[in-house]
Amino acid sequence: MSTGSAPHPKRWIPTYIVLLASLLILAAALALQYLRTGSDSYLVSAAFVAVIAVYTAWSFARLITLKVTPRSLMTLLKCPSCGHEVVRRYREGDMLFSELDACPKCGSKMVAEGIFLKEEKH
Amino acid sequence: MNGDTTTNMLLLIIALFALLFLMQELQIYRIITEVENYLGIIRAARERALHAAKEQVRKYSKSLDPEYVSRRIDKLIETRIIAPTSLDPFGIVRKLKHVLSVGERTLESEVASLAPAASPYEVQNLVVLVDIARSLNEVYKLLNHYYLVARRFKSLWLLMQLSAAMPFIIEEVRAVEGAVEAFRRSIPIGDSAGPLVAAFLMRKYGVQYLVEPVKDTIVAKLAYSGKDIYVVKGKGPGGNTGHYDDAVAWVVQRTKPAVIITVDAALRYEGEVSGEVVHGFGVAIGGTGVEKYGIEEIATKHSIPLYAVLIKMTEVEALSAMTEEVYRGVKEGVTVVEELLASLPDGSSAIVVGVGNTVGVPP
Repeated sequence: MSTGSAPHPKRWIPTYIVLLASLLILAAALALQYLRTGSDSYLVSAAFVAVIAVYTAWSFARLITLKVTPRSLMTLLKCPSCGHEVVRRYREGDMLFSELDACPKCGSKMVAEGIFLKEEKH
Repeated sequence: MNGDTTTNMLLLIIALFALLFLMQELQIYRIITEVENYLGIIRAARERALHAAKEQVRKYSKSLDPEYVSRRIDKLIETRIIAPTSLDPFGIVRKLKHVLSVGERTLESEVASLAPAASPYEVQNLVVLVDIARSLNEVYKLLNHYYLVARRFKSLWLLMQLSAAMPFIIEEVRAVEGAVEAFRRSIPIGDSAGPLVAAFLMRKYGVQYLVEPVKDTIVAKLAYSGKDIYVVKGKGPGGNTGHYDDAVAWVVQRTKPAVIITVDAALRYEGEVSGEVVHGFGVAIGGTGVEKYGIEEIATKHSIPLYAVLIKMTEVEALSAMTEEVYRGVKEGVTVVEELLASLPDGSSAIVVGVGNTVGVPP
């Protein structure tokens, strides 16, 4: 289960890469034209494109450093006999305080003590 | 000054005015686009919630025509609760309670008639799903109204107010939408923290007897040595909040409690930690204030101290499936309540009220 319905912001990464590469190529081409012709209009255009490229790079850097921690729905099972605890992924139909899986230590039925969203560790 | 200069000056002034006008038009257009985008998000959230409610109700609607069920739910989400007049505020809480209970009962019976195959607790979850769709529909319609008015009159100030408020409204809409999945699966949400503390106490100490003196609200007397401890919570595991004031009144008619402890979820500020447990004095119950008023009245009449145990969380956490941090807060909340009960003299009695939606938390 996800924590929200908002689309993941990192889906924009390919768009940013293409945009940034295009701007850098354009800025370089304009700078080259200025060096060849000495026309000030190329210099102004190159500077303008470079400013946009810097802004795009800054936005891109902010996006890739954005930390999104996915969470999964987990069920905490506790054995009433030996107290052993197991946290496993939630399964459809899990209900709080119901007897679910067998205890891996003593074989008794384990009870669902909690159902919660837990951060996924990579 | 020659003619050319004068013409240039005039052209410059005209261009300046044109630019000023154009800038304002551009700003209006930019804000309109921004507000439209936000409205699109809210509309989509409403559609998703409505679709989820219809799908769930249809699961239990047996042989009823799906089109009929869909039309009925469309009608249900348009219903309104009309607050009583405050021209004469005397007795307004009683009137509000009456209006709310009529609305609650009617919605529940309507949903039950559309889902004859659903168990009572499943009906409660369906009612909450319809209620979520109803509140999102109300928010969308209200904002859409302001947007259309602002657009009609091209009012920059109205649009700016809408645009400024939208990020906060979106946050709330996402929080409400997050509840859909939890109610569909019948799992505890953050707001279930209070009932979960109550349920853990009942399981830990055992229950001498359990009664339902008020609809959807249970009172359990714990098998607690030397003290009479009464735990009040919504019935569960269906999504309801119970009627705590009536249940507390029922207990107070039978015993004189030394203290009433309310355990509830509390909104945490930015910079605070989710799941943090804090103490408070007074009645920790949100919502319309009807039940809060009722318990305050009883406590004041009988001079009963009011303690509160608050479990901090964000609004999104309160309405979405319970997070691990909040769950840890629940465990800590149980310890805090136990400490409060242990400090009471032997032979005394106390009421612990687990406040919040009891979805996914059985008695």
